[in-house]
Amino acid sequence: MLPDIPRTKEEVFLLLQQATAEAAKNARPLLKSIQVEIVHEGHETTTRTTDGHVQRRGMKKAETRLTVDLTKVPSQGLETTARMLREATDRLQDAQAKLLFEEVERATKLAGTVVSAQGTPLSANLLLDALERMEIDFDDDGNPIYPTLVISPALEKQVTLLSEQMENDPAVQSRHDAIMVRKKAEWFDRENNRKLVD
Amino acid sequence: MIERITENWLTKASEREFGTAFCQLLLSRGFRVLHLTRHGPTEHGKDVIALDPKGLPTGFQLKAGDIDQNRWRRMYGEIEDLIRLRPNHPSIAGNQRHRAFLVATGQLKEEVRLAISDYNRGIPRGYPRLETWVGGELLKDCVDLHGQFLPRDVPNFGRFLDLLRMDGRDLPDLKLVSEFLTEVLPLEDSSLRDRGVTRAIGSGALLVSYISHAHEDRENHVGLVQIWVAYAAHVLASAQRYNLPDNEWLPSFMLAWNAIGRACDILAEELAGRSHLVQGNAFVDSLAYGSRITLLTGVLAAYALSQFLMGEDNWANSSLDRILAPRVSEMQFWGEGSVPCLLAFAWYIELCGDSGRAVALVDGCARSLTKAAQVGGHPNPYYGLEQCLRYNLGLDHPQEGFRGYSYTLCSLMHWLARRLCRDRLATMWRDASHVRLAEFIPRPLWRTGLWRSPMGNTCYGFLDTPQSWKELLARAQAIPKSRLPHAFRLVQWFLPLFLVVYPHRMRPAAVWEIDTALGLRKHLA
Repeated sequence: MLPDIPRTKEEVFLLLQQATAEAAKNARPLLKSIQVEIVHEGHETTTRTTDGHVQRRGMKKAETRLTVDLTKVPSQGLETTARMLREATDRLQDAQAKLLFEEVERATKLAGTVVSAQGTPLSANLLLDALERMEIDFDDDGNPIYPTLVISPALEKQVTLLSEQMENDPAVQSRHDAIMVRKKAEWFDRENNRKLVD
Repeated sequence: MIERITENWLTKASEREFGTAFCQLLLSRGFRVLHLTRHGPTEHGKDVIALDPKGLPTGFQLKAGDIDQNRWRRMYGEIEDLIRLRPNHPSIAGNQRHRAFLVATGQLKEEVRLAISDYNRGIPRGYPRLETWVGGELLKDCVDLHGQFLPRDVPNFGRFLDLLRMDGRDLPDLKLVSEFLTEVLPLEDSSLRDRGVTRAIGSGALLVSYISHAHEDRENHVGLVQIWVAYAAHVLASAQRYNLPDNEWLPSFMLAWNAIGRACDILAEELAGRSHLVQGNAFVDSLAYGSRITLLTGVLAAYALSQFLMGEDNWANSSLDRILAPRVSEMQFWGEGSVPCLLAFAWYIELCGDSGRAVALVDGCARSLTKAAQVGGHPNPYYGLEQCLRYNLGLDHPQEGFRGYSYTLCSLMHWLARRLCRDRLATMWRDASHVRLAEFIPRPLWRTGLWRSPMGNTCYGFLDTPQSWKELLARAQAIPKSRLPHAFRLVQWFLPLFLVVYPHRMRPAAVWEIDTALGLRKHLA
């Protein structure tokens, strides 16, 4: 074995990993908004949803490989390592996002909240159809807590236009308001049921 | 190497510390241990009373270190008692002859050996000769007991060395203790079963005696309680895993319990003798003080509950009543890991007759968990006291969030339901119904005794909305669907301390077991 300084190197490597993970997550607001919870032991989870469904799930793996060319190490500074780590972290977080969307798709199919555009362009009414099928909560001031809309970057302009339409088109606004009235009533019912009865 | 370690331990171990290991040695040789002096003066010169393999009562006097002429003279009266007074125990008939041993972890000096020979020549008929069991023989016997259960492979031997080097001032690394014991017993590799699990359990007890020396030396009694509770939990895991008959694990388990009881008794005495509860660097002790009060209260309350469940008359703890109970307002809640401490104290004050205060304590805890879950949450019970303090101080950052869920809330709500606290539950139901309730069930169940189980199911759910009070009460009172393993239920009185040391094992079924046992005992009392 050749002389080394393992403790300090490990400390630096850990700091680099943490910094790149943080930076990668900041670039992915959706993943960043989801709370991480560690399963400290065991190999599966069971979730009983509020509507009584019981789902048993095993663990899924998201992984990526990182290799280092030993011949290049002498000329390779920490900037190169940070770049490699960032690329690997990006791949890993993309893999996690993929698993997340697979899970959302599975859950929404089960819940019956899937709305298919069937190849037609995204429209305000399509968005309202989706809103109609969701459970919406309201805050203490009675304002709806809207779900997060996750879209492909290619749809960004289209969605901006749709937003304007939803604010300015009276028919769309009227339908939106009617939906919110229904959702608020549903929310009131849900909240009123949070009680101990005979 | 193990010979060196054992020899080193024998030279340093106090009589108190050596007692548990010595009794394990006796068990391995076919003795039946009837009594081990827990603490305080010996009874008629006998630290240990046992029946030898032929059923003959035997008294042992234990001495740490070498015995020279001066020491022999000072202990002469105890030797006389050892020889002339028959061991006094309900399992021993009054007229039975007995054996008498002087056990020393060191050597007998030449003049002492001669003195003992002279002494034996002068013993009248009808009294036993003084037999000796000392240093070199003890060392050989300890090493023989380990046999093939020594940590031979490098990772586990490395763990063993790390455990030997534990800082006795610190709380022990129970994850490391568990990994070590899992290999030694052995729990994950059933192909090793044929080597004799009972002997492995015995070897484990000796190894635990070695690794707990640092905490013995520092008189860190809470640390000792934690280490021996971990060992006892692994013995239960072994018993359950291999379906051992009681006589193959219970004696070793009871030795561990004796060590736990001894540590708790001495802890209570220490508290009674202190004028303050500050420890270590006083300049920064305010960081740990409140949590220390919580932990001490939890340990002593849980031990008192155990005594009650075992039918002891003097189960109430005066140190708890006089020193800790008045400091309840100073208790600090470091995370869900402290909930079993609070619950143990609630059970204790309920047993003492103050059920109103007990209910208020549990109710307050449940509401605190509910409120916290809605904002940032409390660290779950997988995080120990020190880790939680480090997060609070910003020295470390948790890699997960704690918002929106709780591992212990459901147990507390069922506890309140069983006490018919309908109104209290009704006022907290709305907020509590937003909290995701979590519990982990190890698979197979014998892994309950392990610090972490690689297999098992983390179950999540929510309270029903609306919830029928009748159904809630029925569910809280009914025998749980997923009970604790049989071996754990056999020693129900162990459960309160088990939950204090293993807070991540607190789930509704475990709390139900203790509640039911306490209720039954109260009914009998």
